[in-house]
Amino acid sequence: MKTKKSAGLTILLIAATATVLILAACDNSYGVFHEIQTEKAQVGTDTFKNSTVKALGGDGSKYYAVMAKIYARSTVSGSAWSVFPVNNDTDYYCSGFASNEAGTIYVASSDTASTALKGIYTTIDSGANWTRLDNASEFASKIVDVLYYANGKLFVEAHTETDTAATYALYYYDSVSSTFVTAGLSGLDLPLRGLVWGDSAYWAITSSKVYRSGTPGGFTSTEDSTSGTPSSSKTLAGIATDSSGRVLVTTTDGYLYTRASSAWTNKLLATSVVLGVLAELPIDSTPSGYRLMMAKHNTSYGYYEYDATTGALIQGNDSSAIFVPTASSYTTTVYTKPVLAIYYSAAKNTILIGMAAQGTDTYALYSNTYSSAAWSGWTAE
Amino acid sequence: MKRKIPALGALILLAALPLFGQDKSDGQDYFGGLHKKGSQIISLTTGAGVPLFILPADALATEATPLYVGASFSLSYQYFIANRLTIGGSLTGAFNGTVGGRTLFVAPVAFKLGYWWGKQPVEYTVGMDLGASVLRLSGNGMITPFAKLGGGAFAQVSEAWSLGGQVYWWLIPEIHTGTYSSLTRYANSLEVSLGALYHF
Repeated sequence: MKTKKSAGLTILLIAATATVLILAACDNSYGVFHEIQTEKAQVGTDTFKNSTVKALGGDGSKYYAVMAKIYARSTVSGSAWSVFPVNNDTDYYCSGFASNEAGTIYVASSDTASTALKGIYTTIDSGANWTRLDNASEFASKIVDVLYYANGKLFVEAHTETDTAATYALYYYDSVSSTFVTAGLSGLDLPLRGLVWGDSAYWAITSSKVYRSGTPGGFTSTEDSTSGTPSSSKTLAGIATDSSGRVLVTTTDGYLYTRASSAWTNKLLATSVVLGVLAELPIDSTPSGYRLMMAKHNTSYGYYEYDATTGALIQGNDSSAIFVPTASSYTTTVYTKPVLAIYYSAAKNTILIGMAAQGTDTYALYSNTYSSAAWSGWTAE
Repeated sequence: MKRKIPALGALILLAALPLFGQDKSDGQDYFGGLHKKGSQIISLTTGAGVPLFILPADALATEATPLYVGASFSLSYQYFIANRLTIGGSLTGAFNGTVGGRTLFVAPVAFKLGYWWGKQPVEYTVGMDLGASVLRLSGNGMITPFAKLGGGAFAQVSEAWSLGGQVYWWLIPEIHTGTYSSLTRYANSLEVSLGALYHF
Protein backbone atom coordinates (compact mmCIF):
# COMPACT_ATOMS: atom_id res chain seq x y z
CA MET A 1 0.00 0.00 0.00
CA LYS A 2 2.82 2.36 0.93
CA THR A 3 4.58 1.48 -2.32
CA LYS A 4 1.48 2.39 -4.33
CA LYS A 5 1.16 5.70 -2.49
CA SER A 6 4.82 6.42 -3.04
CA ALA A 7 4.55 5.68 -6.76
CA GLY A 8 1.50 7.91 -7.00
CA LEU A 9 3.29 10.75 -5.27
CA THR A 10 6.31 10.31 -7.55
CA ILE A 11 4.11 10.48 -10.66
CA LEU A 12 2.35 13.53 -9.24
CA LEU A 13 5.69 15.17 -8.52
CA ILE A 14 6.99 14.44 -12.02
CA ALA A 15 3.77 15.77 -13.57
CA ALA A 16 3.93 18.93 -11.43
CA THR A 17 7.60 19.47 -12.30
CA ALA A 18 6.89 18.94 -15.99
CA THR A 19 4.00 21.41 -15.84
CA VAL A 20 6.16 24.02 -14.12
CA LEU A 21 8.97 23.53 -16.65
CA ILE A 22 6.58 23.76 -19.60
CA LEU A 23 4.98 26.91 -18.23
CA ALA A 24 8.40 28.39 -17.49
CA ALA A 25 9.32 27.83 -21.14
CA CYS A 26 6.45 30.10 -22.16
CA ASP A 27 7.10 33.77 -22.66
CA ASN A 28 3.96 35.67 -21.72
CA SER A 29 5.40 38.81 -23.29
CA TYR A 30 5.83 37.20 -26.71
CA GLY A 31 2.69 37.06 -28.84
CA VAL A 32 3.22 34.39 -31.46
CA PHE A 33 0.18 35.27 -33.56
CA HIS A 34 0.58 38.99 -32.92
CA GLU A 35 4.11 38.66 -34.34
CA ILE A 36 2.77 36.81 -37.36
CA GLN A 37 -0.05 39.31 -37.93
CA THR A 38 2.41 42.19 -38.11
CA GLU A 39 4.88 40.53 -40.46
CA LYS A 40 5.49 42.19 -43.77
CA ALA A 41 6.43 40.36 -46.95
CA GLN A 42 9.94 41.43 -47.91
CA VAL A 43 10.53 41.66 -51.64
CA GLY A 44 13.85 43.27 -52.38
CA THR A 45 16.38 43.44 -55.18
CA ASP A 46 17.68 40.02 -56.24
CA THR A 47 21.23 41.34 -56.14
CA PHE A 48 21.02 41.64 -52.37
CA LYS A 49 19.53 38.19 -51.76
CA ASN A 50 21.96 35.72 -50.18
CA SER A 51 24.75 38.27 -50.50
CA THR A 52 26.83 40.59 -48.33
CA VAL A 53 26.78 44.37 -48.13
CA LYS A 54 30.03 45.37 -46.44
CA ALA A 55 29.83 49.17 -46.61
CA LEU A 56 27.25 51.88 -47.21
CA GLY A 57 27.27 55.55 -48.08
CA GLY A 58 25.55 58.41 -49.78
CA ASP A 59 26.22 61.72 -51.45
CA GLY A 60 22.86 63.42 -51.19
CA SER A 61 21.50 62.26 -54.51
CA LYS A 62 22.44 58.58 -54.43
CA TYR A 63 22.79 55.74 -51.94
CA TYR A 64 25.74 53.37 -52.37
CA ALA A 65 25.94 49.76 -51.24
CA VAL A 66 29.32 48.08 -51.49
CA MET A 67 29.52 44.40 -52.36
CA ALA A 68 32.17 43.08 -54.78
CA LYS A 69 31.10 46.05 -56.87
CA ILE A 70 29.27 49.17 -55.82
CA TYR A 71 25.52 49.27 -56.37
CA ALA A 72 23.76 52.60 -56.36
CA ARG A 73 20.28 54.03 -56.55
CA SER A 74 18.74 57.48 -56.48
CA THR A 75 17.60 58.65 -53.05
CA VAL A 76 14.14 59.02 -54.59
CA SER A 77 11.99 56.39 -52.92
CA GLY A 78 11.43 53.27 -55.00
CA SER A 79 14.38 53.81 -57.34
CA ALA A 80 16.11 50.69 -58.64
CA TRP A 81 19.61 49.59 -57.69
CA SER A 82 22.18 48.98 -60.42
CA VAL A 83 25.91 48.48 -60.77
CA PHE A 84 27.68 51.78 -60.29
CA PRO A 85 30.38 52.37 -62.95
CA VAL A 86 33.64 53.73 -61.56
CA ASN A 87 35.40 55.92 -64.07
CA ASN A 88 33.07 54.44 -66.71
CA ASP A 89 34.17 50.91 -65.79
CA THR A 90 31.84 48.21 -64.50
CA ASP A 91 34.41 45.37 -64.56
CA TYR A 92 36.08 46.13 -61.26
CA TYR A 93 36.32 45.00 -57.67
CA CYS A 94 35.60 47.63 -55.04
CA SER A 95 38.47 47.49 -52.58
CA GLY A 96 37.51 50.67 -50.78
CA PHE A 97 34.67 53.16 -50.50
CA ALA A 98 34.21 56.33 -48.49
CA SER A 99 32.01 59.40 -48.57
CA ASN A 100 32.50 62.80 -46.99
CA GLU A 101 28.75 63.26 -46.35
CA ALA A 102 28.96 66.48 -48.35
CA GLY A 103 28.47 65.19 -51.87
CA THR A 104 31.84 63.59 -52.57
CA ILE A 105 32.57 59.89 -52.70
CA TYR A 106 35.87 58.04 -53.02
CA VAL A 107 36.35 54.60 -54.54
CA ALA A 108 39.34 52.27 -54.74
CA SER A 109 38.84 50.19 -57.86
CA SER A 110 40.82 46.99 -58.39
CA ASP A 111 41.25 44.39 -61.07
CA THR A 112 38.78 41.54 -60.48
CA ALA A 113 41.38 38.86 -61.30
CA SER A 114 44.73 40.21 -60.11
CA THR A 115 43.51 42.57 -57.33
CA ALA A 116 45.93 45.16 -58.76
CA LEU A 117 44.71 48.67 -58.12
CA LYS A 118 43.02 50.31 -61.08
CA GLY A 119 42.92 53.59 -59.26
CA ILE A 120 41.59 55.58 -56.33
CA TYR A 121 38.92 57.82 -57.78
CA THR A 122 36.69 60.59 -56.53
CA THR A 123 33.53 62.14 -57.89
CA ILE A 124 31.53 65.13 -56.77
CA ASP A 125 28.63 64.54 -59.14
CA SER A 126 27.52 60.98 -58.36
CA GLY A 127 29.74 59.41 -60.98
CA ALA A 128 29.23 61.71 -63.95
CA ASN A 129 32.87 62.81 -63.79
CA TRP A 130 35.83 61.21 -62.05
CA THR A 131 39.23 62.33 -60.85
CA ARG A 132 41.99 59.86 -60.16
CA LEU A 133 43.83 60.65 -56.93
CA ASP A 134 46.72 58.15 -56.94
CA ASN A 135 49.57 58.39 -59.41
CA ALA A 136 49.47 54.74 -60.49
CA SER A 137 52.77 53.88 -58.80
CA GLU A 138 51.96 54.71 -55.15
CA PHE A 139 50.19 51.42 -54.52
CA ALA A 140 51.79 49.39 -57.29
CA SER A 141 53.27 46.80 -54.93
CA LYS A 142 50.46 46.94 -52.39
CA ILE A 143 46.92 45.69 -52.07
CA VAL A 144 44.43 48.36 -51.10
CA ASP A 145 42.04 47.11 -48.41
CA VAL A 146 39.81 49.95 -47.38
CA LEU A 147 39.23 53.70 -47.54
CA TYR A 148 38.28 55.94 -44.61
CA TYR A 149 37.20 59.55 -44.58
CA ALA A 150 37.59 61.54 -41.38
CA ASN A 151 37.80 65.25 -40.59
CA GLY A 152 38.37 66.26 -44.20
CA LYS A 153 41.04 63.67 -44.96
CA LEU A 154 40.94 60.55 -47.07
CA PHE A 155 42.86 57.59 -45.63
CA VAL A 156 43.89 54.38 -47.37
CA GLU A 157 44.84 51.15 -45.67
CA ALA A 158 46.91 48.83 -47.83
CA HIS A 159 48.91 45.71 -47.17
CA THR A 160 51.80 43.75 -48.60
CA GLU A 161 51.92 40.00 -48.50
CA THR A 162 54.51 37.29 -48.23
CA ASP A 163 53.81 33.57 -48.25
CA THR A 164 53.46 33.59 -44.49
CA ALA A 165 52.23 37.00 -43.39
CA ALA A 166 50.68 40.30 -44.33
CA THR A 167 51.69 43.70 -43.04
CA TYR A 168 49.40 46.67 -43.06
CA ALA A 169 50.05 50.38 -43.40
CA LEU A 170 47.96 53.54 -43.37
CA TYR A 171 48.26 56.45 -45.80
CA TYR A 172 46.39 59.68 -46.28
CA TYR A 173 45.84 61.95 -49.25
CA ASP A 174 47.80 65.17 -49.01
CA SER A 175 45.84 67.65 -51.09
CA VAL A 176 48.79 70.04 -51.21
CA SER A 177 51.18 67.62 -52.86
CA SER A 178 48.32 65.66 -54.47
CA THR A 179 49.93 62.42 -53.33
CA PHE A 180 49.27 59.73 -50.80
CA VAL A 181 51.73 59.90 -47.93
CA THR A 182 52.22 57.77 -44.86
CA ALA A 183 49.96 58.43 -41.91
CA GLY A 184 52.63 57.04 -39.59
CA LEU A 185 51.19 53.57 -39.14
CA SER A 186 53.14 50.85 -40.92
CA GLY A 187 54.26 47.31 -40.35
CA LEU A 188 51.04 46.44 -38.54
CA ASP A 189 50.37 42.74 -38.25
CA LEU A 190 46.63 43.30 -38.07
CA PRO A 191 44.32 45.26 -40.36
CA LEU A 192 42.51 48.33 -39.13
CA ARG A 193 38.90 47.96 -38.08
CA GLY A 194 38.02 51.62 -38.32
CA LEU A 195 39.23 55.20 -38.32
CA VAL A 196 37.36 58.25 -37.06
CA TRP A 197 37.83 61.81 -35.86
CA GLY A 198 36.61 62.57 -32.36
CA ASP A 199 37.63 64.16 -29.06
CA SER A 200 40.01 66.41 -31.07
CA ALA A 201 42.05 63.59 -32.61
CA TYR A 202 42.13 60.92 -35.29
CA TRP A 203 41.56 57.42 -33.92
CA ALA A 204 42.31 54.13 -35.60
CA ILE A 205 41.82 50.66 -34.15
CA THR A 206 42.95 47.18 -34.94
CA SER A 207 41.38 44.28 -33.08
CA SER A 208 43.87 44.76 -30.25
CA LYS A 209 45.14 48.32 -30.28
CA VAL A 210 43.97 51.92 -30.31
CA TYR A 211 46.06 54.51 -32.15
CA ARG A 212 45.66 58.26 -31.76
CA SER A 213 47.00 61.22 -33.69
CA GLY A 214 46.35 64.93 -33.68
CA THR A 215 47.23 65.19 -37.35
CA PRO A 216 46.51 62.88 -40.29
CA GLY A 217 50.21 62.05 -40.66
CA GLY A 218 51.05 61.96 -36.99
CA PHE A 219 50.16 58.39 -36.03
CA THR A 220 52.86 56.29 -34.47
CA SER A 221 52.96 52.55 -34.00
CA THR A 222 52.71 53.12 -30.25
CA GLU A 223 49.20 52.59 -29.07
CA ASP A 224 47.25 55.21 -27.22
CA SER A 225 48.05 55.17 -23.53
CA THR A 226 45.73 57.79 -22.13
CA SER A 227 43.75 57.02 -19.02
CA GLY A 228 41.40 54.08 -19.42
CA THR A 229 42.55 52.99 -22.87
CA PRO A 230 41.06 49.59 -23.75
CA SER A 231 43.55 47.01 -22.51
CA SER A 232 45.39 44.74 -24.89
CA SER A 233 43.37 41.82 -23.53
CA LYS A 234 40.28 43.24 -25.17
CA THR A 235 39.32 42.44 -28.73
CA LEU A 236 38.13 45.65 -30.32
CA ALA A 237 35.26 45.42 -32.78
CA GLY A 238 33.90 48.76 -33.97
CA ILE A 239 34.64 52.48 -33.69
CA ALA A 240 32.44 55.51 -34.26
CA THR A 241 31.91 59.06 -33.09
CA ASP A 242 28.74 60.62 -31.79
CA SER A 243 27.09 64.02 -32.09
CA SER A 244 28.98 65.21 -29.00
CA GLY A 245 32.33 64.41 -30.58
CA ARG A 246 32.99 61.42 -28.34
CA VAL A 247 34.81 58.36 -29.62
CA LEU A 248 33.01 55.06 -29.07
CA VAL A 249 34.63 51.63 -29.27
CA THR A 250 32.90 48.28 -28.89
CA THR A 251 34.55 45.04 -27.82
CA THR A 252 33.81 41.40 -28.41
CA ASP A 253 33.12 40.83 -24.72
CA GLY A 254 30.24 43.27 -24.53
CA TYR A 255 31.97 46.49 -23.46
CA LEU A 256 31.47 49.99 -24.78
CA TYR A 257 34.47 52.30 -24.34
CA THR A 258 33.91 56.04 -24.59
CA ARG A 259 36.64 58.63 -25.10
CA ALA A 260 35.64 62.14 -24.00
CA SER A 261 37.57 65.01 -22.44
CA SER A 262 40.87 63.22 -23.02
CA ALA A 263 39.98 60.12 -20.98
CA TRP A 264 38.41 56.75 -21.62
CA THR A 265 35.56 55.27 -19.64
CA ASN A 266 33.98 51.91 -20.15
CA LYS A 267 30.76 50.09 -19.41
CA LEU A 268 29.84 46.45 -19.63
CA LEU A 269 26.68 46.50 -21.72
CA ALA A 270 26.07 42.81 -22.22
CA THR A 271 27.83 39.78 -20.77
CA SER A 272 28.89 37.09 -23.24
CA VAL A 273 27.76 39.14 -26.22
CA VAL A 274 30.01 40.04 -29.12
CA LEU A 275 29.45 43.65 -30.08
CA GLY A 276 30.36 44.92 -33.54
CA VAL A 277 30.01 47.97 -35.74
CA LEU A 278 28.06 50.86 -34.32
CA ALA A 279 26.56 54.20 -35.31
CA GLU A 280 24.74 56.98 -33.57
CA LEU A 281 21.27 57.55 -35.02
CA PRO A 282 18.67 60.22 -34.32
CA ILE A 283 15.47 58.96 -32.76
CA ASP A 284 13.39 61.32 -34.91
CA SER A 285 13.82 63.99 -37.57
CA THR A 286 14.36 66.91 -35.17
CA PRO A 287 16.44 65.19 -33.72
CA SER A 288 15.25 65.28 -30.15
CA GLY A 289 17.67 62.58 -29.06
CA TYR A 290 19.97 59.82 -30.23
CA ARG A 291 20.50 56.13 -29.81
CA LEU A 292 23.47 54.00 -30.65
CA MET A 293 22.79 51.09 -32.92
CA MET A 294 25.29 48.33 -32.17
CA ALA A 295 25.72 45.07 -34.08
CA LYS A 296 25.65 42.09 -31.72
CA HIS A 297 26.11 38.37 -31.73
CA ASN A 298 24.95 36.10 -28.95
CA THR A 299 22.44 33.37 -29.68
CA SER A 300 21.54 35.27 -32.82
CA TYR A 301 22.68 38.39 -34.66
CA GLY A 302 21.02 41.75 -35.26
CA TYR A 303 21.62 44.83 -33.15
CA TYR A 304 21.02 46.55 -29.85
CA GLU A 305 19.70 50.05 -29.40
CA TYR A 306 21.62 51.84 -26.65
CA ASP A 307 20.30 54.94 -24.96
CA ALA A 308 23.43 56.66 -23.63
CA THR A 309 21.31 59.07 -21.60
CA THR A 310 19.59 56.41 -19.53
CA GLY A 311 22.18 53.67 -20.02
CA ALA A 312 19.46 51.32 -21.25
CA LEU A 313 20.47 48.56 -23.62
CA ILE A 314 17.48 47.55 -25.69
CA GLN A 315 16.96 44.50 -27.87
CA GLY A 316 16.14 45.44 -31.45
CA ASN A 317 12.68 43.92 -31.14
CA ASP A 318 11.87 45.15 -27.65
CA SER A 319 8.64 47.07 -27.18
CA SER A 320 10.72 50.13 -26.25
CA ALA A 321 12.87 49.89 -29.39
CA ILE A 322 12.67 53.10 -31.40
CA PHE A 323 13.54 51.96 -34.90
CA VAL A 324 10.86 49.34 -35.48
CA PRO A 325 7.10 49.80 -35.11
CA THR A 326 6.61 46.07 -34.51
CA ALA A 327 8.89 43.37 -33.15
CA SER A 328 8.44 41.32 -36.32
CA SER A 329 9.91 44.18 -38.36
CA TYR A 330 13.19 43.32 -36.64
CA THR A 331 12.92 39.55 -36.21
CA THR A 332 12.07 38.90 -39.86
CA THR A 333 14.76 41.15 -41.30
CA VAL A 334 17.85 41.79 -39.22
CA TYR A 335 17.68 39.34 -36.35
CA THR A 336 19.40 36.35 -37.97
CA LYS A 337 22.22 38.12 -39.82
CA PRO A 338 25.51 39.78 -38.85
CA VAL A 339 25.27 43.55 -39.23
CA LEU A 340 28.27 44.92 -41.12
CA ALA A 341 27.37 48.50 -42.00
CA ILE A 342 24.99 51.22 -40.82
CA TYR A 343 24.43 54.47 -42.70
CA TYR A 344 22.12 57.37 -41.94
CA SER A 345 21.02 59.98 -44.46
CA ALA A 346 19.96 63.08 -42.54
CA ALA A 347 18.51 64.65 -45.69
CA LYS A 348 16.17 61.71 -46.23
CA ASN A 349 15.71 60.64 -42.59
CA THR A 350 16.63 57.18 -43.78
CA ILE A 351 18.79 54.45 -42.27
CA LEU A 352 20.39 51.80 -44.45
CA ILE A 353 21.66 48.64 -42.80
CA GLY A 354 23.97 46.19 -44.55
CA MET A 355 24.42 42.58 -43.48
CA ALA A 356 25.94 39.23 -44.37
CA ALA A 357 22.98 37.25 -45.70
CA GLN A 358 24.61 34.33 -47.49
CA GLY A 359 22.61 31.15 -47.16
CA THR A 360 19.67 32.83 -45.45
CA ASP A 361 17.47 33.19 -48.54
CA THR A 362 16.87 36.74 -47.37
CA TYR A 363 18.31 40.14 -48.18
CA ALA A 364 21.52 41.87 -47.16
CA LEU A 365 20.24 45.43 -47.39
CA TYR A 366 17.26 47.07 -45.69
CA SER A 367 16.12 50.66 -45.26
CA ASN A 368 14.11 52.37 -42.57
CA THR A 369 12.64 55.87 -42.96
CA TYR A 370 11.31 58.30 -40.37
CA SER A 371 8.02 59.71 -41.59
CA SER A 372 4.74 60.83 -40.00
CA ALA A 373 6.32 60.81 -36.54
CA ALA A 374 7.42 57.18 -36.68
CA TRP A 375 10.06 54.91 -38.12
CA SER A 376 8.74 52.74 -40.92
CA GLY A 377 10.56 49.59 -39.86
CA TRP A 378 12.96 47.62 -42.03
CA THR A 379 12.12 47.11 -45.69
CA ALA A 380 14.24 45.07 -48.07
CA GLU A 381 15.97 47.19 -50.69
CA MET B 1 -43.46 -29.42 -11.71
CA LYS B 2 -41.46 -27.25 -9.31
CA ARG B 3 -38.25 -28.79 -10.73
CA LYS B 4 -39.38 -28.21 -14.31
CA ILE B 5 -39.62 -24.42 -13.93
CA PRO B 6 -35.90 -23.80 -13.18
CA ALA B 7 -34.93 -26.26 -15.88
CA LEU B 8 -37.07 -24.43 -18.41
CA GLY B 9 -35.57 -21.13 -17.34
CA ALA B 10 -32.05 -22.49 -17.73
CA LEU B 11 -32.92 -23.80 -21.16
CA ILE B 12 -34.28 -20.44 -22.24
CA LEU B 13 -31.14 -18.70 -20.93
CA LEU B 14 -28.88 -21.14 -22.74
CA ALA B 15 -30.88 -20.62 -25.91
CA ALA B 16 -30.52 -16.88 -25.52
CA LEU B 17 -26.74 -16.91 -24.97
CA PRO B 18 -25.83 -16.78 -28.67
CA LEU B 19 -27.80 -13.54 -28.95
CA PHE B 20 -25.21 -11.75 -26.74
CA GLY B 21 -22.53 -12.82 -29.12
CA GLN B 22 -24.31 -11.56 -32.22
CA ASP B 23 -23.29 -8.30 -33.93
CA LYS B 24 -26.87 -7.69 -34.90
CA SER B 25 -28.10 -7.63 -31.36
CA ASP B 26 -29.90 -4.32 -32.03
CA GLY B 27 -30.33 -4.79 -35.72
CA GLN B 28 -26.96 -3.11 -36.56
CA ASP B 29 -23.66 -4.70 -37.43
CA TYR B 30 -21.64 -1.57 -36.55
CA PHE B 31 -19.53 -1.66 -39.67
CA GLY B 32 -18.81 -5.33 -39.44
CA GLY B 33 -18.20 -5.01 -35.75
CA LEU B 34 -15.39 -2.53 -36.18
CA HIS B 35 -17.43 0.22 -34.52
CA LYS B 36 -18.58 -1.91 -31.65
CA LYS B 37 -17.79 -1.31 -28.03
CA GLY B 38 -14.30 -2.57 -27.28
CA SER B 39 -12.95 -2.05 -30.80
CA GLN B 40 -9.97 0.22 -31.35
CA ILE B 41 -8.63 2.42 -34.12
CA ILE B 42 -5.19 3.82 -34.79
CA SER B 43 -5.15 6.51 -37.42
CA LEU B 44 -2.36 8.25 -39.29
CA THR B 45 -3.09 11.37 -41.31
CA THR B 46 -1.10 13.85 -43.31
CA GLY B 47 -2.23 16.83 -45.28
CA ALA B 48 -2.43 20.57 -45.59
CA GLY B 49 -2.95 23.20 -42.92
CA VAL B 50 -4.87 26.09 -44.44
CA PRO B 51 -4.71 29.26 -42.34
CA LEU B 52 -8.10 31.01 -42.17
CA PHE B 53 -7.99 34.05 -39.90
CA ILE B 54 -6.63 35.38 -36.63
CA LEU B 55 -8.84 37.31 -34.22
CA PRO B 56 -8.81 40.07 -33.22
CA ALA B 57 -7.34 41.87 -36.23
CA ASP B 58 -4.11 43.77 -35.51
CA ALA B 59 -4.02 47.49 -36.21
CA LEU B 60 -0.38 47.20 -37.26
CA ALA B 61 -1.01 44.37 -39.73
CA THR B 62 -0.08 45.06 -43.33
CA GLU B 63 -0.71 41.68 -44.94
CA ALA B 64 -4.16 40.15 -45.39
CA THR B 65 -2.81 36.60 -45.14
CA PRO B 66 0.41 36.50 -43.13
CA LEU B 67 0.57 32.69 -43.07
CA TYR B 68 1.02 30.39 -46.03
CA VAL B 69 -0.64 26.99 -46.47
CA GLY B 70 1.42 24.49 -44.54
CA ALA B 71 1.55 20.81 -43.71
CA SER B 72 0.18 18.75 -40.88
CA PHE B 73 0.40 15.19 -39.70
CA SER B 74 -1.16 13.32 -36.82
CA LEU B 75 -1.24 10.04 -35.00
CA SER B 76 -4.28 9.14 -32.94
CA TYR B 77 -5.71 6.27 -30.95
CA GLN B 78 -9.41 5.73 -30.31
CA TYR B 79 -11.20 3.18 -28.18
CA PHE B 80 -14.92 2.43 -28.55
CA ILE B 81 -16.38 2.94 -25.10
CA ALA B 82 -19.80 2.25 -26.57
CA ASN B 83 -21.01 1.24 -29.96
CA ARG B 84 -19.94 4.03 -32.36
CA LEU B 85 -18.57 6.25 -29.60
CA THR B 86 -14.84 6.57 -29.05
CA ILE B 87 -12.47 8.32 -26.73
CA GLY B 88 -8.74 8.52 -27.22
CA GLY B 89 -5.88 10.85 -27.83
CA SER B 90 -3.96 12.47 -30.64
CA LEU B 91 -0.49 13.80 -31.30
CA THR B 92 -0.29 16.33 -34.11
CA GLY B 93 2.37 18.44 -35.74
CA ALA B 94 1.91 21.26 -38.22
CA PHE B 95 4.14 23.77 -40.00
CA ASN B 96 3.20 26.99 -41.73
CA GLY B 97 5.53 29.47 -43.37
CA THR B 98 4.99 33.17 -42.69
CA VAL B 99 5.22 36.07 -45.13
CA GLY B 100 8.25 37.24 -43.19
CA GLY B 101 10.10 34.04 -44.01
CA ARG B 102 9.71 32.31 -40.67
CA THR B 103 8.12 28.99 -39.79
CA LEU B 104 5.34 28.53 -37.27
CA PHE B 105 5.40 25.11 -35.63
CA VAL B 106 2.29 23.86 -33.86
CA ALA B 107 2.30 20.62 -31.89
CA PRO B 108 -1.02 19.80 -30.22
CA VAL B 109 -1.55 16.95 -27.78
CA ALA B 110 -5.26 16.34 -27.30
CA PHE B 111 -7.98 14.21 -25.80
CA LYS B 112 -10.19 12.88 -28.58
CA LEU B 113 -13.90 12.18 -28.74
CA GLY B 114 -15.38 10.54 -31.86
CA TYR B 115 -18.54 9.14 -33.31
CA TRP B 116 -18.40 6.55 -36.11
CA TRP B 117 -21.00 5.10 -38.43
CA GLY B 118 -21.29 3.79 -41.96
CA LYS B 119 -22.20 0.91 -44.18
CA GLN B 120 -19.40 -1.18 -45.50
CA PRO B 121 -17.24 -0.34 -47.28
CA VAL B 122 -17.54 3.35 -46.35
CA GLU B 123 -17.33 4.61 -42.79
CA TYR B 124 -17.75 8.12 -41.48
CA THR B 125 -16.66 9.95 -38.39
CA VAL B 126 -17.19 13.25 -36.68
CA GLY B 127 -15.12 14.22 -33.73
CA MET B 128 -13.53 16.78 -31.54
CA ASP B 129 -10.07 17.12 -30.03
CA LEU B 130 -9.43 19.16 -26.90
CA GLY B 131 -6.00 19.68 -25.47
CA ALA B 132 -2.93 21.85 -25.44
CA SER B 133 -0.52 22.90 -28.09
CA VAL B 134 3.07 24.03 -28.24
CA LEU B 135 3.62 27.03 -30.53
CA ARG B 136 7.13 27.88 -31.69
CA LEU B 137 8.24 30.86 -33.76
CA SER B 138 11.80 32.21 -34.04
CA GLY B 139 12.84 30.32 -30.94
CA ASN B 140 10.03 31.77 -28.84
CA GLY B 141 7.07 29.77 -27.75
CA MET B 142 3.81 29.43 -25.93
CA ILE B 143 1.72 26.59 -24.56
CA THR B 144 -1.88 27.24 -25.56
CA PRO B 145 -5.24 25.51 -25.39
CA PHE B 146 -6.20 23.68 -28.54
CA ALA B 147 -9.42 22.43 -30.08
CA LYS B 148 -10.39 20.96 -33.40
CA LEU B 149 -13.72 19.88 -34.73
CA GLY B 150 -14.57 18.04 -37.93
CA GLY B 151 -14.98 14.71 -39.59
CA GLY B 152 -13.99 12.40 -42.36
CA ALA B 153 -14.93 9.54 -44.64
CA PHE B 154 -12.91 6.38 -45.16
CA ALA B 155 -13.25 3.40 -47.49
CA GLN B 156 -12.44 -0.03 -46.14
CA VAL B 157 -9.70 -1.60 -48.23
CA SER B 158 -9.11 -4.71 -46.14
CA GLU B 159 -10.47 -6.31 -43.02
CA ALA B 160 -8.45 -3.97 -40.81
CA TRP B 161 -7.50 -1.02 -42.99
CA SER B 162 -9.46 1.92 -44.33
CA LEU B 163 -8.21 4.86 -46.37
CA GLY B 164 -9.85 8.23 -46.76
CA GLY B 165 -9.80 11.87 -45.90
CA GLN B 166 -10.84 14.30 -43.24
CA VAL B 167 -11.44 17.99 -42.67
CA TYR B 168 -11.02 19.63 -39.26
CA TRP B 169 -11.41 23.19 -38.07
CA TRP B 170 -8.60 24.16 -35.71
CA LEU B 171 -8.95 26.78 -33.00
CA ILE B 172 -5.83 27.88 -31.14
CA PRO B 173 -6.55 30.44 -28.42
CA GLU B 174 -3.23 32.07 -27.52
CA ILE B 175 -4.01 33.49 -24.11
CA HIS B 176 -1.82 36.17 -22.52
CA THR B 177 -2.42 37.58 -19.11
CA GLY B 178 -1.76 40.76 -17.14
CA THR B 179 0.02 43.58 -18.93
CA TYR B 180 0.39 41.39 -22.01
CA SER B 181 -3.31 40.53 -22.35
CA SER B 182 -3.42 42.65 -25.51
CA LEU B 183 -1.37 39.91 -27.19
CA THR B 184 -4.21 37.39 -26.83
CA ARG B 185 -5.20 36.01 -30.23
CA TYR B 186 -7.51 33.31 -31.56
CA ALA B 187 -6.08 31.56 -34.60
CA ASN B 188 -8.31 29.58 -36.90
CA SER B 189 -7.22 27.17 -39.59
CA LEU B 190 -8.45 24.21 -41.59
CA GLU B 191 -6.81 20.82 -41.72
CA VAL B 192 -7.48 18.94 -44.96
CA SER B 193 -5.75 15.60 -44.84
CA LEU B 194 -5.60 12.07 -46.12
CA GLY B 195 -5.54 9.26 -43.62
CA ALA B 196 -5.22 5.58 -42.97
CA LEU B 197 -7.16 3.75 -40.24
CA TYR B 198 -6.17 0.52 -38.63
CA HIS B 199 -9.02 -1.31 -36.88
CA PHE B 200 -8.34 -3.89 -34.25
